[in-house]
Amino acid sequence: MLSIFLNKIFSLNFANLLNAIGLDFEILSSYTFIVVCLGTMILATVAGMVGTITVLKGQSLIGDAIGHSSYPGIILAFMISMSLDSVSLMIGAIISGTLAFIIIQFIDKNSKLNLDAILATILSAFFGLGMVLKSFIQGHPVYGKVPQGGLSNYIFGQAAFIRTIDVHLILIVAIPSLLILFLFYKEFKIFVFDEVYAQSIGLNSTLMYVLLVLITMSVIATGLKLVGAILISSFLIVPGITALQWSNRFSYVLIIAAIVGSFSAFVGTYISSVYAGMSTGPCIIVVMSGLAFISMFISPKGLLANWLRRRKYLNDLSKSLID
Amino acid sequence: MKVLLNKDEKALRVKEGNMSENIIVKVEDLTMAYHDKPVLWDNDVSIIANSRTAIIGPNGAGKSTLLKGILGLQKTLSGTVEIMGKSVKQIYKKIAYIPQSNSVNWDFPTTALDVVLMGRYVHLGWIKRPRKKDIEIAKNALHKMGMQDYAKRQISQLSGGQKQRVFIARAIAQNAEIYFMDEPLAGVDKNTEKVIIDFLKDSQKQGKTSIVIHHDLNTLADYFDHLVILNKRIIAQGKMSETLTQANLDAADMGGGFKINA
Amino acid sequence: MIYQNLLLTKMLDFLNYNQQMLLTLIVTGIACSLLGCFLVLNKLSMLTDALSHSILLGIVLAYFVTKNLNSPFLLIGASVFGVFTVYAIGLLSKTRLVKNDDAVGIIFPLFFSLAVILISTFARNVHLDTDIVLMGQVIMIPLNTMTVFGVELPKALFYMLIILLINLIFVVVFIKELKISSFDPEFATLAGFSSGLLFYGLMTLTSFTAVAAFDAVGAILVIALFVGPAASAYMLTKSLKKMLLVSIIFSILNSISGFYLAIAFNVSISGMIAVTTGFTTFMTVLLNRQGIITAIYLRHKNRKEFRLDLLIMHLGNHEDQEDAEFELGFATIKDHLYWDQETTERRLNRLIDQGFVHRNHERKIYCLTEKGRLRYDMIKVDYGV
Repeated sequence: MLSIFLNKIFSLNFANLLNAIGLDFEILSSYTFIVVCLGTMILATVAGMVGTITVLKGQSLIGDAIGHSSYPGIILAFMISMSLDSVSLMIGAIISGTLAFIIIQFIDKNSKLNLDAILATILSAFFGLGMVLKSFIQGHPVYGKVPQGGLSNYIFGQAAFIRTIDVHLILIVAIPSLLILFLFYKEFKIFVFDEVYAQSIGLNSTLMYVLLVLITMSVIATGLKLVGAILISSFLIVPGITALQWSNRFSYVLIIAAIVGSFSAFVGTYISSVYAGMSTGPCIIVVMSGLAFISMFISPKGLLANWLRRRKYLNDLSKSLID
Repeated sequence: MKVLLNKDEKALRVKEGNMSENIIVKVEDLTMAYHDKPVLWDNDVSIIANSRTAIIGPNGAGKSTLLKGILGLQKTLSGTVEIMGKSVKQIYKKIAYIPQSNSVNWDFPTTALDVVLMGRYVHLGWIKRPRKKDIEIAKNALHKMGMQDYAKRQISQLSGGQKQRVFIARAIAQNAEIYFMDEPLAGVDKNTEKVIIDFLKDSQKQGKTSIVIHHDLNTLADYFDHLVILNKRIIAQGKMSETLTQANLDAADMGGGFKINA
Repeated sequence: MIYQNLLLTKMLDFLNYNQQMLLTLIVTGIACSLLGCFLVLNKLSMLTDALSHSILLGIVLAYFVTKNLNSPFLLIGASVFGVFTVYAIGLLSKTRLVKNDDAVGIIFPLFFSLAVILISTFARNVHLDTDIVLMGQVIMIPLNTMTVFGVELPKALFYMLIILLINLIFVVVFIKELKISSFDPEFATLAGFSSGLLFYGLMTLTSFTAVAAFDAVGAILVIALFVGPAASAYMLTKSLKKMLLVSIIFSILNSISGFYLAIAFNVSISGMIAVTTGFTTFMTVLLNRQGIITAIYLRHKNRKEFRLDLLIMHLGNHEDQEDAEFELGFATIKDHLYWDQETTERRLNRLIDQGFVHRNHERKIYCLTEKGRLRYDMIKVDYGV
């Protein structure tokens, strides 16, 4: 009796507190919100940390190309499994994303084309294939009978359609990914900083690449349903870019990226839950990018600090030249 | 106060030099920075007209930066540059710059003759097309560099030395008065090296001036008649015989392992 | 539904419709690949990705101002916004806080997200169909017509023809300047050609082309049309003019094959053209002069030639020496080369056919002919022995 009473008081106060700072307790405590929010936050945390490595390696646009390229895999998986089962669609996305990655690497090694031209061509060809397959099944006598309304959500993402099983999937991908990142922290650090040196001390850089691609690919594949094929790359690179404005230490950068990712995910999901009709993915990305721009302006390495430093430097210089 | 006095002395010396020889490139108080780190500090450089001037200095001394600063390709923090008494923007047609060969896109779909023809663009200006006469000039320039057989080759199919010759042919086609070259002899074969040096000596006879970043102290005195020694600041400059001394090289941290043969 | 009815009522003209669509696609493709060549050469390919996504925000913003989806100001507004995107990316990477790739990767998802949010909250009456944004509505091209000089032709075709004309004039007039500034920007600056001016000229036209093409073929095919044919031509040609020409040929082939494949399988036309574009580019990677398959073939051929050279070297080295009878004897030569009888004879016969080697029946050994001697000397020079 007492405990229920206490609980009520506590929850009331808590609700009041939240309402006072402008948050809607009703939404925050709803089951759907909690499921969606958990999903996006965990995803953004892992994506931010893994993506930081991609950013540091100077390959931020590869994520964009792979994101687009995973789409035909979703449709193919649907055609084979004849269902919208999250797991099989995810496996399809991983396979087609990996295939795109391998082709990109192959062309990069065997032609004089620049990486950006390769990425643009592969991205459009794979996504085009996805659209071809999608239009193929739309009017098809066999596939047409299976409900396929969810397939469009994989382009822009629709976090509102997240089920508990999707959160489980995210967890299944997130925990091993973080574990790998944690266990191989030292190796990843050397690999990012100086690949040649890493090789010279006996670190297998091919293995590191495979690990990195594997993690990135699974994060992209689980993220598609939430954020969509077009925008998933932001989840990977924007938190990393933001974190790099604040610190030069690899460990700090990873932690900051994780915080930026999960915070943006929370705020973005909340906004999209309050205002009906707003897609969750785009909301999160706007918050994320906002944080990135603010960081670029006010961080110790940012524009403001740079401007002040430059002014001081020029002053000192002119002084020393006059003396 | 002390520094000021030194500056006056320097100015005085430049003036004295001015009386006997004609200064074609005059740099005063040039300071340049890269990412807010100073690369060149308050430098005065005078290049004598019709000279073959070498610029030497240790790695990171700012040799390339100096050339780019003179040519207005990189921002300067302070200082003035005058070429033939005018600014670079006014006199650009008379200047030919031969960059380090790794700064262009070698996979670009263009032939050797095409690259040389680009030298004529300077005189054509916007929109106007190269005429027969320009193509003749470009062909002659290629011929002078012994590259006439490679005119139709795609540039990626040329060797390092051949690429360098094509770029010099471009400068010839431009018919400039002053050549700025950034390590033209780095990584080229002996034959090309001879062709380039012959070209420098030949253009001197035609009244032209060349300013060349050089890295080989052994050939320095044979190839050039004037010298600028640079290590963020100008260590010494002037006639080769007077400037290439052990003391100057030591002052520029270049003395180690190299001894001047008296 | 309305569209389908329209299609049905005009079914008699179906062939004509096909031709109109294909013609529009070809014109769009040529307009794109003319500029695409310079984008590929300047390593700006991914900017087309950024452009094609972020002009959606431009269209939405322009729509808020004009309140009319058919206004020509929509086109202009969206194009100006495209140029602004490029400018913003340039500005961001100039701060040196982020690399250029990162700047591209952060700007366009942001703009695209903003567009999606704006549409879903403030312009819900404007139906946003994801398929239309990404894949355009090629099928609609012949239905949206206008009359120009008494001729009725699809609107998209008319717009793209104008854009093609502008792009063509730009490339023809400024080919010299475009060439020099993408080959050697420093030299271009010294020679009095402002690379910045050319860059923004190129980007403005790219943006206009992308916006005009966006409506008909969608965001994804625009990227393929800009980059794919130019990338293929880049691998095949050694002069800029040829590159432009070859890219146009590729573009036409991709459009035609993609279009008819899509019709045959009744699938998305622009999706299929993106696929054929990717396919031809990949085939060019494999089959061009420096391509992987060519390389394997050449390696095989070289190895063959190397073996023959080796044989000539062996003959040349031992001919005048005392051990010639053993080293070069009819029956014993194979033991010294460690080749089996059959291979040795096959290779020797080939050299005899080519006139490099003859059988010396007196000494019972193989000998070099006059021609073979010359070849021997050349090999020594070639391999530096």
